Amino acid sequence: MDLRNECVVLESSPRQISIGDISLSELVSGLPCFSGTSSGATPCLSKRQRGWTFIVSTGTGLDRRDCLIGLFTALLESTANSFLIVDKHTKACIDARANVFLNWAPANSEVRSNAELRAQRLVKIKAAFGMSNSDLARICRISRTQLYKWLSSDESLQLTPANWQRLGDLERIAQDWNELTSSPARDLLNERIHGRTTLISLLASQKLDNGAIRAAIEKLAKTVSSHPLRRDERLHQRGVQPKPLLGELARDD
Amino acid sequence: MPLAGSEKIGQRLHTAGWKSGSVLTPGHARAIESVLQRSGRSPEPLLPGDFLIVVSQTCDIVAPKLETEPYIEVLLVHERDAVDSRKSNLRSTRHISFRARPKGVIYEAHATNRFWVPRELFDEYAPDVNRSLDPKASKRLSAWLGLRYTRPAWPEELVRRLPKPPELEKILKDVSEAVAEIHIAISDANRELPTHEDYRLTVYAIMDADEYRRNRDSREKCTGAFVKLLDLLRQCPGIVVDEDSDLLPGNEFTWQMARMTDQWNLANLTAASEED
Repeated sequence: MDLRNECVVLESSPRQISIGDISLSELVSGLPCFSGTSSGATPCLSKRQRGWTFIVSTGTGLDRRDCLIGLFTALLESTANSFLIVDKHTKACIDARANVFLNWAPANSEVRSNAELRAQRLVKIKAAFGMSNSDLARICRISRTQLYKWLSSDESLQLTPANWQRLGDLERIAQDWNELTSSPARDLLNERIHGRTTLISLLASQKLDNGAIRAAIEKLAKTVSSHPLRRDERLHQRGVQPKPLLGELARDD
Repeated sequence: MPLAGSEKIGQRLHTAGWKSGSVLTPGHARAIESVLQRSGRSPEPLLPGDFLIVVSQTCDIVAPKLETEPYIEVLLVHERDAVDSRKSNLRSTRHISFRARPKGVIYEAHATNRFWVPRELFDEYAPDVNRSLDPKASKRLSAWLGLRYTRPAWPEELVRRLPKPPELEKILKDVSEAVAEIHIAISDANRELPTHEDYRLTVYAIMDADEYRRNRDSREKCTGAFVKLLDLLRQCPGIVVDEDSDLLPGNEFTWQMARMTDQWNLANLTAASEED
């Protein structure tokens, strides 16, 4: 499997990988280009030497989870033949590819193409917030023309790891919003939260301030359902029923 | 026929149960066969499996005075074993294939097989209740007939450049109820453009405002389908999709926008050259 051209959604897989006891869903949740709730964990350092890619834990102890996230990140970017996970303390080396991938065979239903996953993430963000394409392009920090390419089924378009990371982070924020409310932020995106800060300005900033964003969405989610009634809602309250649309009539078949 | 008391005919037809979507019994249909006639042609003989459905509006069927509404319009339909997917769900303005009610009898018709029958010929007859259309099928049949007159006439060249209905249906099939309507604004809507010129389209998919606001899953599904629709349109040579195209909640699609757009459905893609 060439992971540079193929992204795999594993969140629904209950299988365990052979290294340690870290579940695949836990593992992939930290990857920037994988579907799932991003934990925001920083991938560990990876460096390449003579065709080898070493994944090294930068923490005080070996955190297998971080190592594996780093490994997967490196695999996605690299064509190296061998990948090792090195425990700084025990100096143990693990041939990652043999140990991980021999035991990893995702079902076809779990495989998403690069373009599909890209569009799926954008759709999730757009739908959660009820965003216009201009706002969506703004928070992805790309032009509208670029956004249409991202939304297209063009498999040859490859996002940079940084763009995957941003898309993953924005998707996680969209997921947080969805957990707070089923309504879209839409009208509230440009509402001032404090000073000149709006949710859209927070989401569009180069470095996402997770704390400020969390506080903003919690505040806005409380107000989103308490909007004044529209005229048609007032008619409905008076007992007026909407007329059926063609799509609501029984289908011919 | 009892023409006496013609002013009460509306009441009698109402009492007998005649309304839009009623089906004539085989005996009744045979009795009026001689009037199923087009100008200058012999009457159409009814074949086994042929039925007549009333398509006039109910208020006209039961109008009090015969003079004000002297005729009832009927549609000749043929009973079929299965719905023909090429002719169902408003894909064509010429043909329709539909069920009279859930799990009910299936009919097929051509839009031109309609006849005006003198209203008094319904007096003393009652509709075939087992074969008549339920209210939803009846409304849908009326909508299909209406489309023939109200659908926008797009340039043949534009229809040729647009994706074919099956491609569109594949994208929209899971959201056909959640996306209430699709409206489209077309540059040069009245011109057959030469191949080197583009048609510029702005497409709006409209969701019921409450559904949009309250149903997150539906909103996400519709957003996904709309993104695919726009991507498909962008791949069509000679079509430019405007950046303003978007999925909108119904409260944001205004009367002003309705004036600038055509409602888009698959029947709009019925080209003049489509084979019957």
